[in-house]
Amino acid sequence: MFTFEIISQQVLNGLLTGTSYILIALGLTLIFGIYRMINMAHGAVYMWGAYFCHVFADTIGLNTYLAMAIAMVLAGLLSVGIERTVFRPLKGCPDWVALVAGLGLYYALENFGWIVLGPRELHIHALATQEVVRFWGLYANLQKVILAGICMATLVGTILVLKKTDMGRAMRAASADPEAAKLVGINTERMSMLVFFLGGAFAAAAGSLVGSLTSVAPGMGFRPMIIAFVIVVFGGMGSIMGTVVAGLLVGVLQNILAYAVTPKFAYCFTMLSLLTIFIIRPTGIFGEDK
Amino acid sequence: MLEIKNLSVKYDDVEVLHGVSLEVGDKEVVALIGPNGAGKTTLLRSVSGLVKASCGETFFMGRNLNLVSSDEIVRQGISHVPEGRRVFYNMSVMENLLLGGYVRDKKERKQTLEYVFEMFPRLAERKQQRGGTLSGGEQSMLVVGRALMNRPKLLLMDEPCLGLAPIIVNMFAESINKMARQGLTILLVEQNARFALSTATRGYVLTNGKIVAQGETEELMGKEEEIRKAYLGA
Amino acid sequence: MTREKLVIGAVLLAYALIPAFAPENIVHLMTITGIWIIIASGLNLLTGYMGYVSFGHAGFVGIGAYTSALLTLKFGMSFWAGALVASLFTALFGLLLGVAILRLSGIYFSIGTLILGEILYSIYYNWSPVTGGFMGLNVPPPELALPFMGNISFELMQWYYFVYLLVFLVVGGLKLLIDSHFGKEIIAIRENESLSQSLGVNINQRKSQCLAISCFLAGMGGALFGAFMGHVDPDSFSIAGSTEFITIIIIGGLASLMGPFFGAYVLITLSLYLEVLGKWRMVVYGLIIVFVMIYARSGIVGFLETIFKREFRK
Repeated sequence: MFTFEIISQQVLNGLLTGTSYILIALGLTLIFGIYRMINMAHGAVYMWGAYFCHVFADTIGLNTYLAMAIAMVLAGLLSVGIERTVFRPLKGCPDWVALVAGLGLYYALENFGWIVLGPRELHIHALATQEVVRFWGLYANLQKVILAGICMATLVGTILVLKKTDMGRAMRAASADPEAAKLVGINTERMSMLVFFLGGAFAAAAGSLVGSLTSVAPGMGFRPMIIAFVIVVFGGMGSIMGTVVAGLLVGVLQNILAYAVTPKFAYCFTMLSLLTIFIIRPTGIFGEDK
Repeated sequence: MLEIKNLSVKYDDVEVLHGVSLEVGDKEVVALIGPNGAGKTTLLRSVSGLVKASCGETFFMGRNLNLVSSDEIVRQGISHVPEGRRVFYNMSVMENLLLGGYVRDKKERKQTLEYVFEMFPRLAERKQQRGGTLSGGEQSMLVVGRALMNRPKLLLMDEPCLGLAPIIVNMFAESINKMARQGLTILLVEQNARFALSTATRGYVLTNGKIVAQGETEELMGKEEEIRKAYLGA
Repeated sequence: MTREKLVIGAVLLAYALIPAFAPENIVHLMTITGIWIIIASGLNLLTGYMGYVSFGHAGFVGIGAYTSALLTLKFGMSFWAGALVASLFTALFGLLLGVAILRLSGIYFSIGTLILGEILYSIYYNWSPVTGGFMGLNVPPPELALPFMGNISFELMQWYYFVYLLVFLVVGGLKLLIDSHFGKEIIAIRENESLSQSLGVNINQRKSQCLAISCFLAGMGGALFGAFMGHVDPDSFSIAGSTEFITIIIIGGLASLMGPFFGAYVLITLSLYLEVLGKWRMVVYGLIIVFVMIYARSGIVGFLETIFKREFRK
């Protein structure tokens, strides 16, 4: 039944799911802004980030959030490595070439994951997973609320850095006009590495938090990556506010559809609705017409 | 201050500059004139490291620039006002200017900002406005102001007055003279020979990737016939 | 001209004789390769010649495979009728889809087809009552009733000859198509879509025709693949599959009729040799895709062209 409570509960769940998508998509957006390429290996960085977090939190036994911070650094470095070896040589190629290369790398990294992780279900220990918070007659898993909080903090932090600091201005300049950016003395190559590092770190944070809610497995990154990719497209390719709104919308849409149709087909119907909108407005709901 | 020796530049396989040599002395204003497609922009792009020379050398204050990256060149004190007013459209005038001083430290930047606002008071009035919403003349001021924020020793200007109203062009000529009087070295690329030669002390004429004439401004004015020939490609 | 005919004749003869000498597993692999060539040729028409890069092609192959399997399993059709209807159905799907998705061009078309590929995969995977879910469907082997000869059961040999008969028909047909007015027009669309429109090419019609033909071949390949393997399951039709088809036509060389041949053989041979790597196989496979994208985008045909041009010039 569609009572007001149920719908608001689904919307809340959707918003919480959406925040994890935003965290993945934020990195893709930053990378796209400077690189004009979609990094299809991003989902593998997300998975490896979650695995690093598992190793430091569960195998070694560090505090979960300290483990997550270490995982973010490692995944960031992995992402920078991807930039240097795969995407930099592809600069100036047709867009789709980077998509294929990214997917190829994704499969390599996922399958490497099958070798390292094996078919076991790995977990990231987090106390909050068992807790539930209640407010206004709604309830939510505490770990999900923490996820949303970390996502929002990252988002606000990123926006502040972009608006207020030299580094942020330089990133915006490099994405708006790389050549003019070079002429004021910005090292655009370093900026590219920086966005890949940040993208990798954000993906690792998302992977670790989602991993602590469910589990860590080699194939965990593909769908979130595709969803994040679609969110970036819908956000107007490179716009952060667009990414945020699109991420929340997709999260809510998926949860409502899971309830209204069946969880099995939620993904399918979400993608179908997005494809329909996409065909009508290819530049995204928030993109500018060019 | 700037010395270019026998510079050649290729795009893909097509050579656009064939062994150009050029010199800009300390505190000099030098004009580089020539018709469309002569290679003037390429020459400036090569000096600031945006394109690599296939042959020849560039020295700035005695240092070879050939293997230096573009951001390091800016740090060494060369500012380049690119062709076609490349302001950052979605950033405010203030942000554009701050980016101009990206490689300088923050204290220095504040002082330079005052100097730029003094030079172009209009920019001070428009501080919070987005770069993209400025008029053509204001955008030109903004790019020159942005270049000055770097406290350059050498200023490269690529047709800063293209498409501006005559009144504004005159105002610009005045600003350039003012900067020169304050001791800035300038290499000015222009298609408009009269404007260029009225501000510069010396000039070079570039056609089809080669220097075809050079000398004191007055001398070049005398050779008007020759220059016209060069422009018409005879 | 005669030399060309001689070469073609020799190739045909070699193909005809191979099963007599080659071991069974090689013939089996070559049959699969033949099916891939059919699918890749269709993709090549769309991607290589017209410049529309589809990331959902494996999904179209799936439509053919499942439709044909369902027609034989649930409606008692013969394989032959089922495969034909399935191919036509996939073409019709492409035609209808084209009305919508061909509004997109360039990278947007690629993104659209990628999303579509995910949708199709998720239908194959989740619509268990019809598609059998992740377990898939078992497809009965085809039978052929000929006058005077009775029933011929379809063993490996028959499959091999049948598939390669189709391969040569398809490639021959595509050659006629590429040399025709149609071929010139879709190449014009690749080079400059708005210019070719202003020169009087009915681009909307050409684009949907091209997509429909490409889908027809994908559907045909799917129907053959399902029946030959005796099984269809969703994992053959994922984005990974689409990536593989794109890689085939790039390894071979885009916009060349021989490209899909070279590409399919190289990739199949590679995966055969990669077997020795055991669990590292898929890792290396992914890295090969990356390598091809960075260093070998002009493909084998492009490589041969540069060699021959040099020889002729010198």
